[in-house]
Amino acid sequence: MERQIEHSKVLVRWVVAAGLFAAVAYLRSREQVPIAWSTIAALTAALAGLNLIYWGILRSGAPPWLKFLTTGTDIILISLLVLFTGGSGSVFYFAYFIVLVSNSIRYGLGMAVYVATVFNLAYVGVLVLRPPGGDLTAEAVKIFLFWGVAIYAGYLAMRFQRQSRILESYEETIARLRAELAAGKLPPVG
Amino acid sequence: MSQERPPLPRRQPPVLTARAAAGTVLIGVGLLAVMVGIAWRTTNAAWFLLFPVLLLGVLAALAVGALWGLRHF
Repeated sequence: MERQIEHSKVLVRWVVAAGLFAAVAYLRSREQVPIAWSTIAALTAALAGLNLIYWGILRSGAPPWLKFLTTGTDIILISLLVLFTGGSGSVFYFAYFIVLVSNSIRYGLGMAVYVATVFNLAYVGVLVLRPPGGDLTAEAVKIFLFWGVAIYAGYLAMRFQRQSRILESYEETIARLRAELAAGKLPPVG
Repeated sequence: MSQERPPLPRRQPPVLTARAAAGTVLIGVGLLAVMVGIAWRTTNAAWFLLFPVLLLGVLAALAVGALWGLRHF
């Protein structure tokens, strides 16, 4: 199951990477983001390299630590993109939410808390390396809002997973009863 | 001919006392105040590194309070 999810994430990562690359390249060509072409190339190469490594690991199975590694590197790469495209004012801040929603829905509340924690640490790194200057209350509110979305998304995913498990157990029970009925093991009803 | 009733099961002592639950909630409120204070007054973003610990502490403390209020313990 986890292998299937991580395979799907590898595919989604290619799509998101292509979209982000196109957006960054377009904004850079219009000189709307202060990022060097070499940095764009380096970030894209890093993402492509990591994705290929993950794909290689997944060919032989999905170790339990892989989901944490892939999520962590995704957030760190987005933080680098945010750092090089204006820091706290970067238009690519929204990309954090792609990682959050994608992983929370797939893995549940625990992963949502993990994503929020890594985001918190990485975004503080962005703020320290490129300080916005003056009052930091707005940045604190951004971090709080991210935590709020993470916990809510994780809670919803947890509820959904519980309902899925209940449904699965019903389906198993129905299948077992049908098999027993076909084999004549059950007494006739009525 | 009187049959003796089976003895009623003894009530389990609470895992969490009212005092411990109230203390936990108070600690949670304190952590929340610290978090709001950092968000409001700090000029150094490195203080935001404390948010995960503070936030999870607040949530855990409030969850303990809510569960105690619902007689879960």
